[in-house]
Amino acid sequence: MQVAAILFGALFTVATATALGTLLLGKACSGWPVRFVLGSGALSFLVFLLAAAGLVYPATFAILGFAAILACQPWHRWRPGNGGRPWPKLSATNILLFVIFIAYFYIYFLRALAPEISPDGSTYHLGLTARYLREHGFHRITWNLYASLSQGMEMLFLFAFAFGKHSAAALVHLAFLVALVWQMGIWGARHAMAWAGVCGAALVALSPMVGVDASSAYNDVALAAVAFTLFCLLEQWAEEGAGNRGTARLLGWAGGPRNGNAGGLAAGDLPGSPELRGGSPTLLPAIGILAGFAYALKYTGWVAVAYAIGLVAWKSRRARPVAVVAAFAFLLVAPWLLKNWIWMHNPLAPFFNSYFPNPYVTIDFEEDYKNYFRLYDLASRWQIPLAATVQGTLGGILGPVFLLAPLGLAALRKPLGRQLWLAALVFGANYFSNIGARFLIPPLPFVALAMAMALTTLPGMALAVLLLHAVLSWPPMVAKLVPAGSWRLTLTPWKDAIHLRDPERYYKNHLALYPASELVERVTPLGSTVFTFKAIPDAYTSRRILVDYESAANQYAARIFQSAASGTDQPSGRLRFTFPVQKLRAIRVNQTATGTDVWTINELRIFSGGRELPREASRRLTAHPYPWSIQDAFDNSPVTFWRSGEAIHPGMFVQVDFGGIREADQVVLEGPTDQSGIRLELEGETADGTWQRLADHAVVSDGAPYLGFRRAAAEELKRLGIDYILCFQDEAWSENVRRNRDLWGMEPVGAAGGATLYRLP
Amino acid sequence: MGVTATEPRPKGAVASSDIPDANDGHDRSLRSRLRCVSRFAVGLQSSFVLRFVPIVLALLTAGCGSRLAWYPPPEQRPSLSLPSSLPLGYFVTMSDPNAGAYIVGGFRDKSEGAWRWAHDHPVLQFYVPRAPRLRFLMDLTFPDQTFAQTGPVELTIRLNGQEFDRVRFAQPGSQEYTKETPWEWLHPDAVNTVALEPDKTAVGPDGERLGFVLTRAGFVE
Repeated sequence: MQVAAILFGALFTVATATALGTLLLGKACSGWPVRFVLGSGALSFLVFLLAAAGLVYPATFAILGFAAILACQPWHRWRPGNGGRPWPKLSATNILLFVIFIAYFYIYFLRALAPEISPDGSTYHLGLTARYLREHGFHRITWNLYASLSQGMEMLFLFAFAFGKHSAAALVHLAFLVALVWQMGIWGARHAMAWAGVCGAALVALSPMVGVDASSAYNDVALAAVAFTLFCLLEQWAEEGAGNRGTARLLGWAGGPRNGNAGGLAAGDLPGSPELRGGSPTLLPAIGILAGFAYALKYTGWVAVAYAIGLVAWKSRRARPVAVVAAFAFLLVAPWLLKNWIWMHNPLAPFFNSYFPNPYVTIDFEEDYKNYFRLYDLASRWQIPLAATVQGTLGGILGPVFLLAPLGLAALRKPLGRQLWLAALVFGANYFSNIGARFLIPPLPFVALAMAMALTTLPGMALAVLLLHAVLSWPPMVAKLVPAGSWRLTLTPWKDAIHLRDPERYYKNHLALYPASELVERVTPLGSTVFTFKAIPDAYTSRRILVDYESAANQYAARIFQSAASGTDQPSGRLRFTFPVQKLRAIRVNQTATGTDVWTINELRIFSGGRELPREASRRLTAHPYPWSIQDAFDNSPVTFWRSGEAIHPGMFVQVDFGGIREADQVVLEGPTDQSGIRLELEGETADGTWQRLADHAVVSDGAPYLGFRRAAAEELKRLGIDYILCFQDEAWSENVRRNRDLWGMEPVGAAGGATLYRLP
Repeated sequence: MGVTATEPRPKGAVASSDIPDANDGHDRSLRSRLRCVSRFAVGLQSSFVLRFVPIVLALLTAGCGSRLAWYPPPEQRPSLSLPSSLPLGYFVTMSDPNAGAYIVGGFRDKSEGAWRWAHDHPVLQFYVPRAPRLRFLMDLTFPDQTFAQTGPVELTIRLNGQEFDRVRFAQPGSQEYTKETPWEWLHPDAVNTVALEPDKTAVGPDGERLGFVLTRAGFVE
């Protein structure tokens, strides 16, 4: 029954997307892959609207799906046979390739059908999807930066998930691989290079990275499919005469053999078949939708918008086609921008925080995050080719045969090769912002086809490379190549795939942190919030999971917890400004140095004659940057703090306006001791309204560690809305927490899989 | 302003007549769909869109401006510090301007920044508040120069006159000493003394007896 629900969820989603694509394209393109991929963009957009309206229910999706399917009248379109075209010849090579394709797609299918165990799929891709379904739409999520990424794929997952849960979502992603491979084959045949098309498709389809990604609830293969579909539609548009003939010819889009049926596929079944030439008015909107959908799928897909607009502008040299493409692209991009702008105060959240300062993601985190993904743990970018193809240290491998990718440069001799390489460069343009191997998937089809064009010029070479690729990419072989932690496919027993055996057992064997999720779900009441330093698979719990790095608020909670748990990181630093007693309206502490430290103040106290001035309600507090948490430096708690949220630079300040005139002679800043790079000076606004420097430096000293700090930290975490802390045995603070439960006031409520769950007081 | 049926067609806009004729019922629906799409495309190129885009861009970039946000003081948390009226606390760092108040005797008169020399009979005093559990902690250093004279040093720690522990420091350099301190050794909410007696001391250039260098000491959780 479960497998039936999964298959229905996936197939219904694919069918709905295909129907919507058919409605959008009309007769402009007859290929299923194009209709499915384009319709996915439309479906994703519609699901976004439903989620925004709070109408996420299986019934709503059922109405939408059946309406779309009925409206496109598939019974009018279905033609038995191969549309009058000849079937491919039954040669030994064709049969061998067919067997290889079937074998690989069989293991992909079983993997996708099995319980979802992928790292990101089981955490945020489906964790957020499940939340949207539970809550019947979007709600403001500021505690998880992944909720701010464009989630075009999650909208499709949501549609499938509503009927078939996790595995249905993974199967929808697998459908994009089918569409991609199918289109690559068609593209080759269309250009009288059927063998090259098949070869390129096989290079992509058999790649270990592509396989494991496509059979999981991810979005990289979907982006590749959208990129390639966009490429094909732009080509079709150019061929239909809408563009500048000269440019199209230069790129190989206006010439070339049309009927060279080397692989047994006729031109008539292809996009841009002769009866449709003459310019379909739906092509430009479709191009715009696809470009926008690429952005909606993944931020790195923004290049699709630039690519589509740039090429249409270049070839048409008219404003109207460009405006149409841009408008439809914007239609799909805008919802994500608006959602973030309204809820996160940053349309491009969680990035570009220096342009759109907000309380939810700090600039220093963004920098650290981006810096890590620029190089992972590699010493140099020169290590990328081996790491991404063979070694698996970038989160998986594309396959050793992709070391031959430079051979594809030989294709530059031909216009089609230049066209492929241009697309590869465009869709690979973002790669160096995240060098994970899966970020090479979007340009991979173009590179693979260019490689195939070169390989097929040498008799037997392409087949040899394909067979080698098939052998080296087979999961047990990949297991021998890559280190244990590298993401790769494993062969899934069919009983697990069709959920005949208890999925719990499968999860526990394949998803290391699943027991922690199961523990949370089992022992905490509904509506609980759990804080953790490890991203547990929250697709399998309905509780709110706060992971330490996933928002500024979570990082704040993490620092509070760690400073208490370490026993040594209490804010014992004291920076003391002393000055002759003054009548002041306000004081301002300026930071004047440049460096890598992040300025932190746990408490700012102002004294007169050795007594702290009372914190009157008339006071007004501010800070630059990150003013949103300045109150935490004035709440009398050493546990809480204000943090600049970015590396120190001149111009940072904290200011206290007394709301009247007060006498003062000393200002003390309490904070951590690990910010030796900061340089502070103190200014005061005198009674006559002029600002003057009160002290040009502070005297540094150490204060006493606080008694009751752990308890205060636990209470503060509770005040932040956290109910439970999940501690893992291998975390540095685990032992401290276990030994000092009484000092924390925390109660252990359960343990599983190396994790202990503590309830806050 | 949107484009209405009575307005002239914008130059270059797609009209329904531009769409290929349909031959069957299915294509009639196709034509109507294409008509909708083309109308939408025309609408998006209208002057409304041209005016709307800069407004959207202006709104989007509004977040770039720096606005100073002001906040009132928040609710005050209970203090974790001892009342400032007390002359002593439960812990002292030698960089504290008030460090002298914790010294009963046996130390150099002044701190050298963050540390202070202890002589042969150093004694400290602390006000120890009631707390669930406490341990005594100190950071001390045996410099290479004095250690060369003394060799390994045994430190006898007395709490309120009772011998609490003996610790042997066999290596020079910085050391941290910490040990749980049961309440039977202490007087809660009162002043307690801690004597730290080295069995050997070095002799400085001016004849000063140099035991060890203390950075911080006191009671922690």
